[in-house]
Amino acid sequence: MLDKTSCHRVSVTFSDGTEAEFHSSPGTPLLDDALASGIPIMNQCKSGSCGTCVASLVHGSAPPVSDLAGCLLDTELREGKRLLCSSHAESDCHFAVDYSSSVGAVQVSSASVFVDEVEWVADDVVRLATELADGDWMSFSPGQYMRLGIPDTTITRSYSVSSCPDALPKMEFFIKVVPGGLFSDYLASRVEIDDVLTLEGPFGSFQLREEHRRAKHILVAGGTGLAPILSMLDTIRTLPGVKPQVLLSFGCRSEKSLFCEEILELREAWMSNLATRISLSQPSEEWTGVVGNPLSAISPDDISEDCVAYVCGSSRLVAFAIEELVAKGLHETRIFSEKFMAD
Amino acid sequence: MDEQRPSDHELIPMQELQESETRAKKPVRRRGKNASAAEASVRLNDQKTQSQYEPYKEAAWGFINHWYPAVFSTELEEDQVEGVQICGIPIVLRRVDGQVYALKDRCVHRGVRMSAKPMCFNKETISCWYHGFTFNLKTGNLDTIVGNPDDKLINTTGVTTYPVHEVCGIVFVFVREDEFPLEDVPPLKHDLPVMFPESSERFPHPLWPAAPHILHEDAVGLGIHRTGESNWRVACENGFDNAHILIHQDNMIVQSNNWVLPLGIRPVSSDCITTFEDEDGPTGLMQWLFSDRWEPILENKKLGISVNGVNGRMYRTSFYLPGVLLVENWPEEYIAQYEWYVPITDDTYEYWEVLVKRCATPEDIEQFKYRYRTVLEPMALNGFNDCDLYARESMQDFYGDGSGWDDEQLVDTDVSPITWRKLASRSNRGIAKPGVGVSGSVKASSLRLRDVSEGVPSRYFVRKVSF
Repeated sequence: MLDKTSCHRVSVTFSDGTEAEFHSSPGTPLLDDALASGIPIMNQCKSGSCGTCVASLVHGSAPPVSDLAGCLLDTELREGKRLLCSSHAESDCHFAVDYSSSVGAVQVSSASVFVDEVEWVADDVVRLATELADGDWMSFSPGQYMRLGIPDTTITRSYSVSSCPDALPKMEFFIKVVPGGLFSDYLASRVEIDDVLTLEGPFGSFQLREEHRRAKHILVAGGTGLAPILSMLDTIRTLPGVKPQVLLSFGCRSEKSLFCEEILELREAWMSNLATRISLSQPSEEWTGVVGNPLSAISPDDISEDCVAYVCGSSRLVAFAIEELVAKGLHETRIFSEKFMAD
Repeated sequence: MDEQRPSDHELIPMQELQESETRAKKPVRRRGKNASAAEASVRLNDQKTQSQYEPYKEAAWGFINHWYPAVFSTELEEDQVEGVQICGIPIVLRRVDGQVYALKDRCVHRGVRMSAKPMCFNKETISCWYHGFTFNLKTGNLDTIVGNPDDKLINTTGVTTYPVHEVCGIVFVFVREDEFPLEDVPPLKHDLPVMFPESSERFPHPLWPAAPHILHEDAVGLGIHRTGESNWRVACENGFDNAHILIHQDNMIVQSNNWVLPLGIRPVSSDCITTFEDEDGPTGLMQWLFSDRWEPILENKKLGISVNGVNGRMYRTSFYLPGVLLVENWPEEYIAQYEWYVPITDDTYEYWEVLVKRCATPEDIEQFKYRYRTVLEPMALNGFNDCDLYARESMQDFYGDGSGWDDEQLVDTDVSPITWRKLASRSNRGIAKPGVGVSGSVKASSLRLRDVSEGVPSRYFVRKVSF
């Protein structure tokens, strides 16, 4: 019989081989006990919706709590995936996570930024350039995101940083402006240069994986999903050591929503190891480039099983991209993704 | 509905609200020396062209993760220790049993340069003369501390090591970032000019013999190096700028030989320069001089001047990352001139001029040395190239504060430097970070001011202390 009332020993293995152990107490989510023991589990919402604290159950019993919806698919649950924020241990358990112990160890902090520039780079995309306030600092890994506070409210929105950590104290974001969105509304009507925004972060496990640094990189971005990809790309550009081959496939809806063309053109000029492809799903008749989504621009010849892929875009694009990349021969464990959604 | 990532419910825990209230009490100020982004983007030149070589403009302290000449072999005798600085990185060199070792010349303890007072107790290590921190020459590991042999720090830290390749009388060092993996270090030939006659079909040279190469087994290199007071980029662009030869019109070597040295050389074909990024070789550019792709200008009617020389002096320049010039057939047949402009700081560089000749016999070597001593060094490396040194310094004020890169007004002959800037932006292995805690990071340091007051010029080698 599994004992639901007493403490269990839970161990976690990180991708760098580090192992950590903690005791879980009855009725407490595994994540809370892990964090209380100082174990660097990545997390964010603590409510089962963001999926950041996902771990693979290697052995033991740790069912998900039924009253939390959870964003894991049934198939993922069957494969042993668990959200530590919404699972309880029913026996001694062993988990594995796919990031290194140093990645999760970064503490979330907050800071203020000044708005430097607001540039409409497409009909519905704004480039927001900011600078950290005097005395404030923020660290992040390329690919991670921040929560930006809307001035005079307590409301925050999450956006990936498009600039590199090297550019700090400057930070940039590409933000899709959506009718009715609160941050969108702020950007569309009220924002002024020198506004002060609060910033909280860093969040997210969407980061370049050290163990795959030498693999050919397939970067797939849809719309403002380009932001974290751009930060990753500029980081790869300045990596010490032999640089990997990179294929960046960027897709937008139409010419009107296309942005960053010049920036990508420059990256291609600066990087002998980079090829970029741009696709539009609903272009005008004049468009001579690829029609379709960013996956249409990737051929089976571009992909081999030793590639690594980073995908960011809408949840639909991400799901489709994973399916397509797997179909083209890439193993799931070599695909890392981040999806964004309307909220 | 905002589109954001990832699914992030608007949960604002109480604690965060309180935090943000606390934050609000603290005055939120702009950082000092705030460059509003709008100001920073005002430029006079064509921004599109400039942005294509933006990384090059950022490389004030040089391109890192490349091979650079550090010293001539003759400058580092057995057991000798010398300190130099390249791309803002202090480097100490020691020769043991003929082999040269290179380490970061900054003791992990208090930052002292070990080369300032060499202290070596055995063949495996070098010790800092201040508190005796002792580093392994091969690994950089902190092996022991002279007066503190059981300290916990021992074997837990160390200094970066730099791969060394000594050839043709030159000690080359691979100057790398601390994180650059040793297994990724490319062979020296990736940072040297293409070889002839192997490349003779690719880059034909019907008017002169195949240029000698540093890596030829019978190559002999003779030359000098000295410190120039300008940024290394301004220096290297001078070497292959085909309009700059005007400064050499009056040089003794030109006039005494009655050479035809054009007033300038103009590009007249879109393929006047070939760039290449070789798989197992260098990245560089070849200028098709003395072909129909370039037009020599022999007179200027408006000014009423023309070139008088009668003896043709064919040569060709090619340029390679990280800043290596090859002048084929110069200053004499069967000789090639190599130049490096090794960044020391952002306003000083070490100017290397090396003449290379293949010498089959000891007599050939003696003859080359005699010719070098009596004619080539005084008339070519000094006389002729002294002008280049002055020309680079004369640009330093314009480019030194960065404004020159925006304000320069370039013409068609500048296709050479522009091509180089783009190529270098694309193929460099890393942009050196501005020097921190090193000579030159503080421009008017008390040490430098003392040197100036004592009349000591900028120095490449570390000034040794003796007591």
